[in-house]
Amino acid sequence: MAMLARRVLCGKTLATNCFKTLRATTSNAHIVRQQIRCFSRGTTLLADRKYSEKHEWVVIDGKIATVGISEFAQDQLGDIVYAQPPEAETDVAQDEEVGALESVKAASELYSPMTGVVTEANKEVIANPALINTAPYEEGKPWWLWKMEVSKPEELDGLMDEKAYKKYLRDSV
Amino acid sequence: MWFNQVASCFSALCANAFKLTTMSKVVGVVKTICDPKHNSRNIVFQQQYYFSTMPTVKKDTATFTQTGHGVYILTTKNIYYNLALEDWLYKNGNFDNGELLLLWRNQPCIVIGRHQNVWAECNILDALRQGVDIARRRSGGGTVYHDLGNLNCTFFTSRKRYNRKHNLEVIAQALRDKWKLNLSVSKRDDMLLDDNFKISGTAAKLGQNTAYHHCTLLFDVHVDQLCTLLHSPMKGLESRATESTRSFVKNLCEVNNTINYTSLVDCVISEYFLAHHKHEVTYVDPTLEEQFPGIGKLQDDLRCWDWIYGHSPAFSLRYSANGSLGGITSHLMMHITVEKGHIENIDMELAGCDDSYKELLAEVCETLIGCRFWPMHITIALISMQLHLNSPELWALINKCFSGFLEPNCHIEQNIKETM
Repeated sequence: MAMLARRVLCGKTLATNCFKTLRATTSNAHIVRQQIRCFSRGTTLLADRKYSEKHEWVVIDGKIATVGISEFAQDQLGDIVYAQPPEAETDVAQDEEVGALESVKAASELYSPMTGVVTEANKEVIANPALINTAPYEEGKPWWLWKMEVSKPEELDGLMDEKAYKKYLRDSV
Repeated sequence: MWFNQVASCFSALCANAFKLTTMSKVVGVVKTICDPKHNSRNIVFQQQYYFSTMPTVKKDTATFTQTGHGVYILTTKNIYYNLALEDWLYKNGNFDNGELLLLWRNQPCIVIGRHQNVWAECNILDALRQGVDIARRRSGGGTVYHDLGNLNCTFFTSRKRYNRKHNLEVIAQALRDKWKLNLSVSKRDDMLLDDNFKISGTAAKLGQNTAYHHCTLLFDVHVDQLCTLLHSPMKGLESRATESTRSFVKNLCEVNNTINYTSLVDCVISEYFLAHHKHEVTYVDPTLEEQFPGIGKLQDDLRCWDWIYGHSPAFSLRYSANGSLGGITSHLMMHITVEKGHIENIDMELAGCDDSYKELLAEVCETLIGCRFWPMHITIALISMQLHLNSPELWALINKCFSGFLEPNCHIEQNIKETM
């Protein structure tokens, strides 16, 4: 609990105050936020993170992939009130709709960035969906939604790294 | 004053979508007529539009591409089929080069949001006894009551062009122009009359490529029913489901008695077309499988128990009641947890009675674990252990504790399509 509190607090104090001002003054606030975050100590961790065009991120450790939504996606969604990640033992295919996040009145679909079997859904986030909005990217530890054992590790090559994802945000969103 | 239930606030989700355009009313635009021959059972418009016959669906792949702006008026009043058409268009439609407005209404029904607890939002048993359908939609938001005095508008767009404030402004502007109503769109994307009364609730579903936003327009809804049915009799209910926000509602016909289904549809369509410079209205029957391949299955999915009731997020209930057991007044307390529509755990505590009842109660708990949380199923489970014969007093006390929930009611069962 102490760690949790510290993480949330850290995310807020580092980011919220200054970024609120930034967000109000620039239309590309999310890009500015991400650029600034590169200077944080999460940089090395972010380098291992891959992104899908549907704004999910994935980090692979052996066969286990951890999945969450990008800072950009959570910012676009606004206050998340309900999280429905896929349940453990669910077979998921790449780009398949596997769950949803509800940010008041709008249900946004979650897509799996890879193919495999879900091993765990993040109970902490399910119990408190607002945590996703606290996204302490400064520590390189945004909240994850589910973990899965991947069956097609090669799919990772088709995903974007941090730099490519930033370009994707600038160019296509 | 009456209550309606709706969802809570919404933040800047569509920050990236196209900017809100200012509506400018073009006077005297009446376009060439092509009166639909199949119009007799529908409405007669004051304005006249191009009518097309049917949407283009590629039957081999069941894909559908919308080009330009179109309006579909749905000819069925069945909530499950109307929601199924939304599902079908969401799954099969391509809106990169076009947008679609669906206008539809339903026979009396209760429609809950995707992540809501149906037990917390409405009076299920009363609704089913009265033949009022209960449906869970795929979009977020709160619970609403529909009947023929409520017009639903669904705006289909690409994900990039999703902008519900814009959609609501189109409707608000239409109503302001025609009936001089004092309408505003709130921060929560509710449409308010005189800054106080809600006349429209909103919800949306966003996918990667396609998004839809639907809203209600209350023009002559049976408010007594709305008030009664959107009130859950269940006490002591706890869950993490999204809750509805109660609002004061008002029917538009109270403000101007010329507002009815026909005039409202006509008004909304004319403003939508003014905004988009395209005039094409289509009457669509969502029950036509040949027109929308696979829609029957989508309708079945929306109608099944597991989706409507079983999809409620996990919840717990606390009940208690007093009753006589063996001549001694006893107090029964129940704590039930329900997950995926089934009883995951049940604790019962009896105070002030003989120990023999407690043994029987332990047996009851064991029987009920895993049982579907539904009156008929719980009743059958208890009857199968012959509780009503072995201990009519305990049976009566448990039933009292459930506040009459256990009464078997075949009529209710007929309304539910089971997927066991």
